[in-house]
Amino acid sequence: MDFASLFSGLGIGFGVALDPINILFAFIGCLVGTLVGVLPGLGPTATIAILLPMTTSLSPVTGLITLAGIYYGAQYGGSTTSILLRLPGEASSVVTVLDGHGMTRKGRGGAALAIAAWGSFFAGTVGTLFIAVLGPAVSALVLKFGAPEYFMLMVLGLVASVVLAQGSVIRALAMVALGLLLGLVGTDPNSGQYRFTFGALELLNGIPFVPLVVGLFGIADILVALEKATKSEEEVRPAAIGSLWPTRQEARRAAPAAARGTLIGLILGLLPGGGALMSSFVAYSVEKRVSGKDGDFGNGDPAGVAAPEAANNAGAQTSFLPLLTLGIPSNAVMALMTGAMLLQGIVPGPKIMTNQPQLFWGLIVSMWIGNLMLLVINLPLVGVWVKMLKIRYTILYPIILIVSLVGIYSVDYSTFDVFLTALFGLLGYLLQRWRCEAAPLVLAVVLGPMMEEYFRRAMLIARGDAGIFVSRPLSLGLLVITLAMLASILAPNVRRFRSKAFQE
Amino acid sequence: MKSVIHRRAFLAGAAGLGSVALSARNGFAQQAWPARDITYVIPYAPGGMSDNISRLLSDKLGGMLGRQLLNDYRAGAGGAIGANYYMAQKPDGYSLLQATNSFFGVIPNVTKVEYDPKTDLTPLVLVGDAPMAIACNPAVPAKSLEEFVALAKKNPGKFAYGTSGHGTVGHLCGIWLAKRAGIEILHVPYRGASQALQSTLAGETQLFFGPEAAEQISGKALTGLGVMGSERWSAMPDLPTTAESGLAGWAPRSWHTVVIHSKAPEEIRLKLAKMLNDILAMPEVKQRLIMFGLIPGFEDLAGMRKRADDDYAEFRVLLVEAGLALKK
Amino acid sequence: MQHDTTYRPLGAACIALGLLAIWIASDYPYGSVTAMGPGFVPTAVAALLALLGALILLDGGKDLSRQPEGEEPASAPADSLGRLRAMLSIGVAIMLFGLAVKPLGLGLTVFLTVIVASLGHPGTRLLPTLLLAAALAVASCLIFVVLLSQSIPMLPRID
Repeated sequence: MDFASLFSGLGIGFGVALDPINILFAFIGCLVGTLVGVLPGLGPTATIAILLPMTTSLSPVTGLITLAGIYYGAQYGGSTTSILLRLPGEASSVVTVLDGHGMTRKGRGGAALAIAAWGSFFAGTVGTLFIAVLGPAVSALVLKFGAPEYFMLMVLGLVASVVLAQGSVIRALAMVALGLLLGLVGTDPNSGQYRFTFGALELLNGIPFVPLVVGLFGIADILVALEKATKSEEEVRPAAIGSLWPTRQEARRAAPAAARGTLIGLILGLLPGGGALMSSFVAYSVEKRVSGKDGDFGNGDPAGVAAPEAANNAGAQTSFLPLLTLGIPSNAVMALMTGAMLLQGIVPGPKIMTNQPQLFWGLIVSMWIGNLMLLVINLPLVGVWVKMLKIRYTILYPIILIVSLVGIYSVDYSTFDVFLTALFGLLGYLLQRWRCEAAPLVLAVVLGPMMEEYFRRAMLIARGDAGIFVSRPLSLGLLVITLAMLASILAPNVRRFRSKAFQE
Repeated sequence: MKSVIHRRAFLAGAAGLGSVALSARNGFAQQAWPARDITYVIPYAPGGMSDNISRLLSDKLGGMLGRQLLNDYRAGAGGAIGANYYMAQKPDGYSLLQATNSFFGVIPNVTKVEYDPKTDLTPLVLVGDAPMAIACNPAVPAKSLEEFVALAKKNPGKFAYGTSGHGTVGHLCGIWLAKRAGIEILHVPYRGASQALQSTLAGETQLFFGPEAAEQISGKALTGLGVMGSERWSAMPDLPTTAESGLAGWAPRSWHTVVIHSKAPEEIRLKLAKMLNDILAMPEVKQRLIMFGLIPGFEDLAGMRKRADDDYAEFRVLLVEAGLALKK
Repeated sequence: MQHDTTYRPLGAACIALGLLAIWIASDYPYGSVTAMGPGFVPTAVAALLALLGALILLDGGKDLSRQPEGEEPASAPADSLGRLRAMLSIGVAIMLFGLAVKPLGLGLTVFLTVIVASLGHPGTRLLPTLLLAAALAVASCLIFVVLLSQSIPMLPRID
């Protein structure tokens, strides 16, 4: 794309997005999204679905701008609870829990929230520019990604999840295996066979995600805290809250991490079917590798907040591209946006950019405005959220419990999901006692079924020839990266085993 | 204000759920229908075609009845959870189900459900047919279905078709085409139509069945080979039907309807069918449905019953072939 | 550094779960590596889980002693009564919520759930708990049902 048309496009876009009505609705969308996104269970998908009817009376551009605002807001709201309460509402914020909540325990919860907000804003800005400049060209890349490439990407993600773990590698591997097993529950997409469903219709689509993460993180945390409370009289609450702003040192750790996270998010966000979700995990693992001994991951390293949050938000931006340029919604939220466009009389697809330049560029510019709004809304809110931590635990934990349960129930109005939450809460508690980490497990639950699916599909398409994984350059490249990463994890352990064996 | 509405909606729903609670509710049924708001069960997640249709219809129908239609989303198990949930509602005319022909043709053939598609559920109206366009990756040198079939006969097993999963209408289109045309094509299931469509665009698979391909066919990203059935698609009049291509008779199809309990009072069923048909005849509604990619049409209650029963029998044959049908 | 004993239940649980899953998955067609059936991956993954369980047992907790001590040490002997109390109150509270929300409505259910859950903490006092329960009951109805129009009943069913 030449620059003249880019500037004229951005000109059109700013003309649309700076319309006071559109600014107002972008603000409302972001605000509502943030507030609802804080409730577990009600992530971006549910929030947009609830508010969709209200936007149909608006003009198409305004309606979509509002929905996009809700999307960003809800995405960000999930991070807030992850950081403060160890309560991730969705897969992409699971990894924010690790160091976000770590910072909260150190009394740096406010700084963590501020880092998340700035990191997201930075990523959103870069993401918007990326879409405007390279978008149409890059979207063709999506089609280069076939089943073998997706499979390799999933393997890479899984290996990266072991890097996430703090403690024992073997326990992390066991968690991955357990997660893979849990991920297999449901209907096998390749044959239609029901697996591990125990006759429950509720399990045909797999283990519902929100009960899983709320149980493993939120409920398990309550159980551990209560047990501590009965044991000693020590007050279970995070350290006193220091300054709400990141220190110079924290900012210096966070800034390059946010930049790297953004880059990862931009690329992975383009890939429908798991790309956007993996971006935060991959960004975190990369940070951990890059930092080496300098990092303090798992105990509140600012880089561990900045990288996944930036990646997540950059991915949220680029996931619009396949929809706008190819007419393919890349995730559930985008499917809803398609519905919203159809209700407004717009058919999303390759022709949208030429036929509806107002809409295309208006949406792109309002993405950036939405990110700006998010910053404007959330920085003042940081102080409010952090005050929540001053609430006595006897009051706080029933609140967390109720918000979680009502949120879970309102996803599918399913009593079954509520019971599952109790079950996973117990599992999460046991895992904490047994010094195992839940993050690799959760990632495996999400990636496992996709991995199997892509592997079997690749074999199907190659008519049973496993050579397909090495004969395609992209797939081969991913394979090499994966092997290198695996070697770097295993090498120190193998060495230790060997040196021990020699001593004995 | 809103709270009152919701409690009413709940009463409507809950009455059917608890077996204990059935007796006390007769008082309501005596009053002129509709005495309260109506629950509208959507058996899929928000954002899909069923959701779009329900949003379009519920406003208009609510206006005509002077009551609200309260959308109640019960997604899961390909619609089976929503259908079972609907069956648990009292058949008093205060609940409707947004449905597709899968609820008659496919779901009861592959999943254990708590309804008999022939006697428990009545399809009220034909909202529209979803044309199953046959789209082909342009790298395949075939401009028509005949050419494709000839090519596939020379290369058995070489071509693959992407679908949104096992036992979906797209899958059954593939089985039907292979059987009727005497060709061997490979089924590659995906998660959802958009992934399958993408695979055909990328050339990972060669064939795709479904209305989702319309944009890509008209944009020449995919070659349109035809459309399943015996009627052309008004939005893409150039696509010949499979019947024209020499494959006459019933073909896998997809249509949308609104369903009510067969046990609901007859006058309510008739009244709702009439009102819904009036709504579907409105030009703006028709135009919207066309934009969703549907072909609006009309079918009376008997015609709808026949559609449902035909699909049950015909889909069953194909599902048995695919090894997916429940043993009866 | 105290000796880690958690490897025993963990290893045993992994082995047990793995074997159970292998047994269940034996009903699914297995296929081959190039043409996998739906039983291939479940069996392989379950076997991996059992194998890792065995490795954890064999390692005898040494995997942890190699790590720097985390901030959550395996700590003082747990007060099993206190643990039971925490588990029971939270477990019962969640079950109660699931069972009661349809027949009793959201308001009353939330009220009861909060009270049961509060029993899990030794520092709970009666009056604040009652106030909290009432406030949360009202707030959850307002937020979820009124503002977000979730179709959850607010009041008990009256028939």
